[in-house]
Amino acid sequence: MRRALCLVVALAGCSAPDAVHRITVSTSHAAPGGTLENGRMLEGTAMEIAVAAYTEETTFHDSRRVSRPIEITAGPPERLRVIKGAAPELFILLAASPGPSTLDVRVEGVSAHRDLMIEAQPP
Amino acid sequence: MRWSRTAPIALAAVVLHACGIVPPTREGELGRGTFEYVCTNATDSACDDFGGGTFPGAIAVGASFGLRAQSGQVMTAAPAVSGSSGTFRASKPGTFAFYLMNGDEIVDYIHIKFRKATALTASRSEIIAYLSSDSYSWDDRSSFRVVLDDYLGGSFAPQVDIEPAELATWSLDRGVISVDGLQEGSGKVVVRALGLSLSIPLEVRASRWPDAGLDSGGDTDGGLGDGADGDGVGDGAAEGAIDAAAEALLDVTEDVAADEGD
Repeated sequence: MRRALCLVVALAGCSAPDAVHRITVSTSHAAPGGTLENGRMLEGTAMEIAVAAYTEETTFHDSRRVSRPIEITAGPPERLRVIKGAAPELFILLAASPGPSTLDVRVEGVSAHRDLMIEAQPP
Repeated sequence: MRWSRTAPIALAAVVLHACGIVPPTREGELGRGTFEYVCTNATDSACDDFGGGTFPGAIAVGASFGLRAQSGQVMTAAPAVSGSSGTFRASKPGTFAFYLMNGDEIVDYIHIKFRKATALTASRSEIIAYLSSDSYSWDDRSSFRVVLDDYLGGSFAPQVDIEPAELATWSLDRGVISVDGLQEGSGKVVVRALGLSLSIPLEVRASRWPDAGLDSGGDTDGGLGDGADGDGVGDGAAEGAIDAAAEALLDVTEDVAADEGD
């Protein structure tokens, strides 16, 4: 019944109601002098980030947060690493050395990209 | 029951807490773990002599320290921090993350500041050593500790030089530097650590007890007579003195009796 409904919706030109509609990547615990939002981190510091995925419920016209497999990569690896955190949606960024770096997150075909400048420790 | 690698740490923590001793610890920034600071040697002012202490606010650049946790292994991603297996060395100033790894997950982390030490401080402003360290004294002035300014944490290996070298020798035990005299005279003790140096005046005296070693001539025994020095020499003289005193007392007694008789 549900599949039939999806098929009808898809044929009508709409996305399936349980497909990931958008994702957010945000700082859940800031590093000293840096956040994902300001695009900065200090070398040698750590920062916890959270990824959230949402589906669009066409019935109620709102977004709903869901748990889906998250693909996350950071690099270059000698500069920025990402390691799983204490929950599936949490990740820890580890900044190793100064320079530009990137973070890419993908959840069911929806992706997000962030640029991070890793700065040297002040003298 | 499986004896895990962390079991001895947990057992040690239970024993220390039972004894009222709390090692230096800090909660993780995410509130999911506790990091315990480990002094790699007794020069680290963060630890006291009884297994307790205070988690340092900053570590001196060049000093070493340890971190451990009950629920995993403590690691760092900072190339500026050398070391592994929970023992690290602060290589340059800054703020660096140390994370608690459990399996393939980071449970928690803390950031620790590294700062250059600007001065060494000795627990004594003057060292007085002796040729014979035959007895312990409560006012011992031949031993001292060296601490970093602002009580920066971290263990270091002090290099000690006695100038002139023939004046004394030194030893380091549990963070305490002790100086033993080789010959009487004055000089200085120079301590170098973490690129800093400290000079302390040194005086070497013959003995801790000013008149020890004199067995005649000097009245060092509070009038007890030479026989009191325990060497057997002069015991006859002491007996003579006692006899003379007894005779004098007898004379006085006789005089009083004669007066009363009058």
